[in-house]
Amino acid sequence: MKTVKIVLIILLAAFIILQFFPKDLPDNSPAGESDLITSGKLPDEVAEIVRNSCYDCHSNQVNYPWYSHIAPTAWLVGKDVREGRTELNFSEWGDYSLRNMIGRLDAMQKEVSSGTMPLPVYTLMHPNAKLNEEQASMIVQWTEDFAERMLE
Amino acid sequence: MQRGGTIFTAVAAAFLLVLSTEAGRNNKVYFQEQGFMYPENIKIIIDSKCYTCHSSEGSSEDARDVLMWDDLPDLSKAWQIATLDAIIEVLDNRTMPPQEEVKNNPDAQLTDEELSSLRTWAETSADNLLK
Repeated sequence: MKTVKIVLIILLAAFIILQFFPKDLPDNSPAGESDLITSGKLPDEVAEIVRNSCYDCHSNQVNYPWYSHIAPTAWLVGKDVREGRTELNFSEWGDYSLRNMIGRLDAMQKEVSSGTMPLPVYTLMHPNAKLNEEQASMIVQWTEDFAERMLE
Repeated sequence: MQRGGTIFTAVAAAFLLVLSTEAGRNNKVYFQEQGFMYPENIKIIIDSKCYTCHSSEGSSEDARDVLMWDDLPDLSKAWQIATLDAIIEVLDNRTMPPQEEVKNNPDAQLTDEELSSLRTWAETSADNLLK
């Protein structure tokens, strides 16, 4: 019993010490002209799905949840957001070349149709972000239509 | 009649000579695979460094899901551009061929020259599709 108590005290102390390390969460910024949703190029229904299921990792308008301010989960969230923005940042959509835009739409289609995105670890904490079959089909169809329209 | 035949043979030989010299100098012997154009040097790189995994012969399902060279010409114009964009990205990041594959088969490693040729081809092909 005494050993358990000591271990718990050590863990608690370690947890408290961890909070003094920088969380290093990527900064947010207001949506500008380059933002895909702000550009008005998305149908409302698609925009709503994208904002709800993708923007927390793939934009500069992340709604950081409470656990993202507590170490060590803060570092995991920060890592996901950094990687997400590198792969695809909807807030910087207008800055991509046409080739990059089409490439990202294709990647988006593949990730959504295979069920890889949104990440299961994210939907575990945000069940509303999980795409149902109808929403996934809508995104897949939209990526294809949007890519084709860009070439017209 | 015999003179005519000789002239024809000489002209044909000259034509073939010019053609082969040009092809050798500019490396412009194009292989057309269902509408997709591959210069000879690119075809050699793809066949030796990429095709084993990115074809129906490939053992990795992931590799086949991402890219099947044989299917590239059948994709829509947009998805052809997207595929070329993805090829450029993995070349820039040097993530292909995967290190694991290179470890098992060192010959699979792309040389700097091959990587540069493949990237230029992918970029030019994408630009042509975007025109």
